[in-house]
Amino acid sequence: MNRAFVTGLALLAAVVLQVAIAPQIAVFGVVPNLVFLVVVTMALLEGPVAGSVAGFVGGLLFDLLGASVVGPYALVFCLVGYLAGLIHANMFAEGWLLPVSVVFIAGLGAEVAYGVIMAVLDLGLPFWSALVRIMLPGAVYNTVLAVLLYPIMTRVLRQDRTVKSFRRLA
Amino acid sequence: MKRLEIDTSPGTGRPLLLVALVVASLVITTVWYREGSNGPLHGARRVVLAIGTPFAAAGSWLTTPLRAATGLVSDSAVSRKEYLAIKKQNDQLKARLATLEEAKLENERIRELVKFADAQDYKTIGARVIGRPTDSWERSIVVGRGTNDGVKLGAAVIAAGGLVGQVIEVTATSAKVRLITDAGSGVAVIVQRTRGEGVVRGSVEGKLTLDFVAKDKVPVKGDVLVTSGMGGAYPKGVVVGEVTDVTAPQADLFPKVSATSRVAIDRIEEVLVLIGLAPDEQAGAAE
Repeated sequence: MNRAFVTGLALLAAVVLQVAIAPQIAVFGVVPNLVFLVVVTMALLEGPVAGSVAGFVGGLLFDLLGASVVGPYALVFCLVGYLAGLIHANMFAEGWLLPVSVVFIAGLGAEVAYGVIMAVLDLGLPFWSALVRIMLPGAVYNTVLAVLLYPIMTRVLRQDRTVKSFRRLA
Repeated sequence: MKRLEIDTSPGTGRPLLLVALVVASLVITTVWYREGSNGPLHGARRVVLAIGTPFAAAGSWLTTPLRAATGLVSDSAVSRKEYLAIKKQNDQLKARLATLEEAKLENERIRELVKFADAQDYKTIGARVIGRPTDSWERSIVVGRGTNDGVKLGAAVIAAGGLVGQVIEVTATSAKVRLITDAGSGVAVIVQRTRGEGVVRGSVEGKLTLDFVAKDKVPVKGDVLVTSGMGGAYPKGVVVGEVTDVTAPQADLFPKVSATSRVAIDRIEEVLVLIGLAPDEQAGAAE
């Protein structure tokens, strides 16, 4: 199956689940970001080009789901997708520590970047409150979900390649 | 041991593509600000809302048993004696009891809503909450009423305890409501006792703060805040919340006032959408 088609389907599925399921499993107001997880997985599997494009499309859809200004998540996710994609060549398929670490760092970075953009747009929130209430818990929640979902997502998104344990993907 | 190195050799990434996407994002953000509510991006958001509504409703419906089960477990934990007493009942009776209990609670909530709406003299329509925030940064809900039911953009949304929020996006069958606890929300209010005017804002924590109230009209804990009607976004006289804490440092121009809503906004399940003023209030507004 065409990779772009599979990626598009994965993003659409993530958006649907973001609307239907993510709000129901929110913990203390922290909603997991399933679109972000797909974007980072795509970036780690396919590299910076696919990561940035998936990030832009996924971010734009995520923006359209929300109630605030449209555009910031498209910007943040395409940057995150690009940067995460840069380590694609050094990825091990079955290793869990690197992707999970990348999800945590990228998640925290994305939330901080989004907060900065909102501040620039005069829609910002007090930084420390946002860090404690939204950014850190969000990054941790996404990381926990990544531990569960990353193996499944890699199998769905990379059907074309049989991966042996700890062999380089690239 | 081989060190992990980031591969940044030429060809792994396309900086030009990244720059193009970044520029496109900035253009989109600018267009969002420049266009009106009928612009293409606002239209796209309405389309996404319309398409997403059935999925949001399905998700809410699917997780209802889970929420009911959680409630059942917590109820059992509260009263062990009660739990032992009903233990002998068969499964069918228990299931029926749970269903009836849920219907009764819903009935009570709706009665409260109707009573409140009658007392406030607004023309309203009841709506069920079918969608919750998809993002940690915002506080909004989706309700299952739209333009087909008379809901308009900017309509105020209330519950038995007072103001809930305002419609910011509306489709034929659903509407997105920004809650008053959202950090981007601002409601012009008046302190009921001192008549001091101010603006109630939301926050990251979901708490409310009262800004810009004059120092000679500082409220005290327990004072009720109601909408002032200024700006026309909300009708006058709707309860927004009550003051929980006041500090008025001499150096500050305005006192720091914290408030809380009387509505359990995060757990709200039914609301009333104001679709117009009652006939006598309409006459008053026209004067």
